[in-house]
Amino acid sequence: MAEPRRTSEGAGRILVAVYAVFALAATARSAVQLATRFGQAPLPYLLSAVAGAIYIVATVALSRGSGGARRVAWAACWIELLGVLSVGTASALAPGAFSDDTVWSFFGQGYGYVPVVLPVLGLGWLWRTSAGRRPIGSACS
Amino acid sequence: MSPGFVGVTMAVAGVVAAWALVSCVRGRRFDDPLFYAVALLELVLVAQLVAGIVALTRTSRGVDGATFVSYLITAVLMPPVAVLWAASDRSRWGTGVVVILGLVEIVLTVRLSDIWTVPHG
Repeated sequence: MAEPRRTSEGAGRILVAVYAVFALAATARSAVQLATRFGQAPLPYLLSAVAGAIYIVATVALSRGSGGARRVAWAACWIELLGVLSVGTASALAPGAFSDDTVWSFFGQGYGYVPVVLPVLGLGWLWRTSAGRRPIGSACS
Repeated sequence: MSPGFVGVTMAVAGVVAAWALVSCVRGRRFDDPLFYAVALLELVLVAQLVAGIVALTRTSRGVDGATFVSYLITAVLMPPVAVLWAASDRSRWGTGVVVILGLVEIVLTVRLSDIWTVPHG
């Protein structure tokens, strides 16, 4: 069995970069919303803040990418996937339920649907780089 | 904030993204010519920051100034971080990070243009 590869290497470079962008986007957006108009729509703004925190954890864990960081990254990506699917479904079924949009509303429509694709790529990458799997592009032997 | 300036930023960011994409597909590392292209993009973004702040002080329309300036500053800070992250990888994927940088700068510029155009409530 080969050792697990670091998640920050190879294509993981791009994945970490995209996660970092979403960590910044979601955190900054919710920070502005919470600071300026928390009373208007507390639930969506808090959801955005939670999303931002999960993106930060995933970014850091994937950029470290070994040992315990892998487990943290797994958990963050799963929570993120469940979050975007549940918030996405809720916003689609009851559009009026949230008084303002979040990163995850309508499965991340406002962000080019990247929020719903990202956790799938994250989990796929963690599986791909896990112990015993060949690196992408390596010769079969 | 003149539409022309936003056009220049988007064009340079688009060239950087396209160039990096071709390099990435060809399996090339993040090399010097691409680095200079990113440096040019950074110069344009710094000029955009200055022009944006000047335009903000001169306009009488209601623009969400805090959000506008935070987008201008974020756009300037992004290339150095992306270069550090890209250069520490010795494969084609470092170049791939520059593709993401170009795309994100385009999105930021579109949003910047929206914030400038839409009156602040």
